[in-house]
Amino acid sequence: MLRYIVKRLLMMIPIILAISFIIFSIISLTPGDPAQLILGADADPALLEAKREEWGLNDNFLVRYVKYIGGVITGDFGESYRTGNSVLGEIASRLPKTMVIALGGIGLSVLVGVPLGLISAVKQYSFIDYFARVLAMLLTAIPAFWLGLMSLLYVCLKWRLLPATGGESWDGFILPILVLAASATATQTRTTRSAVLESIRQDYVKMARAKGVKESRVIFRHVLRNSMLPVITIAGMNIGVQMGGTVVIENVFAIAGMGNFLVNSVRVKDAPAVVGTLMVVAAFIAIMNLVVDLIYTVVDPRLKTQYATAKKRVKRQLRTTT
Amino acid sequence: MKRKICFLLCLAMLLSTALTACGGGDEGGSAANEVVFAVPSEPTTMDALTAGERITYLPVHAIHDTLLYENADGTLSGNLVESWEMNDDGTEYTMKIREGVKFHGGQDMTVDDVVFSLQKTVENFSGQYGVITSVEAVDDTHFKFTMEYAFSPILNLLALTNASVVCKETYEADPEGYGRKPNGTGPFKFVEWVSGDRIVLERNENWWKGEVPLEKLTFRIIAEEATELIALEAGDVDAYIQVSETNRSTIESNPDLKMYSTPGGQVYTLAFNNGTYSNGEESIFANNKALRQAICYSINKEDVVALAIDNSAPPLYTPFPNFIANYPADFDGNVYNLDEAKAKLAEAGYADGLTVTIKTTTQSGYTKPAEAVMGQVQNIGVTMELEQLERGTYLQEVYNNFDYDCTIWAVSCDYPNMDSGAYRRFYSGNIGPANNYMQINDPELDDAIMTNRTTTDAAEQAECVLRVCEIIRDESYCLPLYAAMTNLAANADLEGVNVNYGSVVDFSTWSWADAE
Repeated sequence: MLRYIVKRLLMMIPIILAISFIIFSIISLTPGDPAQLILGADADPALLEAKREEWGLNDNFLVRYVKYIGGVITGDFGESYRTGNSVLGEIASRLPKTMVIALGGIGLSVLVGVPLGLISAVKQYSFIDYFARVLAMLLTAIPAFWLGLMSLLYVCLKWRLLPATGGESWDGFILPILVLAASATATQTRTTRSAVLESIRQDYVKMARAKGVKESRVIFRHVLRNSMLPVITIAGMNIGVQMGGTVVIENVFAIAGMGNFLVNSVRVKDAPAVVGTLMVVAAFIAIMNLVVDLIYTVVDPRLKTQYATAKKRVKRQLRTTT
Repeated sequence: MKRKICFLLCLAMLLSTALTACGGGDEGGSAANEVVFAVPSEPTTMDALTAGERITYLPVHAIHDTLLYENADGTLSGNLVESWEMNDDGTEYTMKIREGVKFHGGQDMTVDDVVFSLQKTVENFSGQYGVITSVEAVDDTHFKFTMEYAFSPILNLLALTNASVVCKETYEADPEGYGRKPNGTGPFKFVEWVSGDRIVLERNENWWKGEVPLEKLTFRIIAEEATELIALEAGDVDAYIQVSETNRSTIESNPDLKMYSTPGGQVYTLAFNNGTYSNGEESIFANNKALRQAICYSINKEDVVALAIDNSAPPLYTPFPNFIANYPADFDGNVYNLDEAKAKLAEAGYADGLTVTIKTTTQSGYTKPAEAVMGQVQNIGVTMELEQLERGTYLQEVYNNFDYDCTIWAVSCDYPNMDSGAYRRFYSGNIGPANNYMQINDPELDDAIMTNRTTTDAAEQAECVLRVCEIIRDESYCLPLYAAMTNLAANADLEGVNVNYGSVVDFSTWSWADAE
């Protein structure tokens, strides 16, 4: 298992390098001059030239990339053209807010979506099942941007329950998390419902019931546990979606997080900021996917056995070849 | 079973609340005697000597003082400079600095600080200030600067935010870091800059003009205008700038809010490419005056302002906003005349119509007038295909490479003199990236622009303004459409609120109606 984890972690390095190269290429090769975008359309040509020189924009694209990635390897992600601050410092100051929103959204979607999907499946064709399905359909269809603005309009302006801009106090995070969790909750509910419905008709469930096992034990022990793999898969996939969602949410709720930083940096083609941020996001998503894979083995011990068996099989093959 | 489900749901709610609590931080909203001012983008620097766009000027102007001060009526008065004298031929000014002025860091403002700041400004903004050839100290309280030629609007330039004074000692100690830790003489002192979130300033108790009413001024960065408006209505912010016309009625109908509007310095213009593309080929509008005139005659500006800005500003018939000195109020600009337009189109060799592209950025402030113009020119058989470009691409293609047929862009007037708009945009010596991107090359126009720059005779200046307006109209190098209003929305309890044509706000006069 440890070997598997190390292998996965090592695999992340080329993936992140490839991502950095692709993003750096897109930012550098598309039209637009970061100096002019940052200093203004009418900025003085002398000042523009000085900034281009300072930021190395007059160098060849590959030279710039090699210099940049060389810095990254030594832990220097460069300075943001726009803010003049170190990119790592910017990320460090913004990451906690984004994490609260993204993980809060994921956590809430699991905590609400899984029970709701479970109830919906157990009570199939009941009122709560219809309610859960309609709600899930609505939450999937409503764009986060619109939902964010509507919630601002009603919750913040009409009912004055929460502050309109997030990120300053703890209550400023409630709406962004709720809005971000909406779509993921819908997906989680629907996935849990269909997974539970599939498990609930299996022979081992019928057997458990025939043996007179308590219904709650049947549901939680036999049905839910066997339905968890697709549920965990969706939760894992939602991590990437949630990280992307923070871009919209942070802009609507004016939260100084990574998404906000990314949008503002993309607008002015601030390559060190964009590439640095996306590398961190990519690493986070890769790590979370690894965590999800490890959780699989906890939920389904057969997978753990498979890893072990595969390892033993390789060892055996090696022994025979030598 | 039901109990367990209830327990699970309660747990979900508790955990979500706990997670949200992780954020921590201060309470939102503004405290007594504090103003929270929302801005749509993050200022790029606090360095007055390199700041280059309007949002950045807001906090920079609150932290620094300029050499001269432009009053609401456009007249100039002394600020960090108390008095000045001009030599006989108008090429040299000797100025006396105000004594007893202190920087926020406690240093006395000296003539060295003033000379240093002005030299840096000339160096960084050579397009505007390049006419100044030398700046030097005369004695402890006087300095002088010399110009290449007598440049009449120079005093207006010394009232712009870039002509502020910074502390030389602080600046030289860390030139790169000054933008994040400024040390000016202005009414507010810099406190903190939380990247992407807010910039906090506090009252400068030693300001040479006396204490200002506000104790604290916070610039809150809110990118979405819908959020800015909701935050203003909810009381989370107290004011915001660059209010779009679509929100005017919402603000004006709310008794708790007040809208401040002033004719802006940005003239939205249909600009033709009067030169060549980057590949050397001639633009369709170059050397075809009749074609440019045909388009200009076919556009009903009344309809354009109705469609683009909901009639919030009148149509404009001159290439300059109406607050410039010697503005020709009764000037007859291009008028809507479809028959004349069709005749000119035939004269231009396009009797059967033609198709051109009109490039704009994706911002609605530019796409709306473009769409209005596109509808108008169809009446004479001209098809304009709209190409909306991301800002960086737009600047590169249109502004820098001249790869466009026509475009909608705002020609900005930063000080109340024709020179501000005309010299950079219409003078042939400035054909090049980010300046005369319309590639206008007209010796008569050049002569009028340069005479206005160099003469100190008001009557001659008035003549130059009129001449420039006439040439632009007759040659139809571009078609001015309207000068959009500069809008600021604020809490109705705020007093002393102001905004000028260039979006410059003087926060030193702001106060709360009920403040002690």
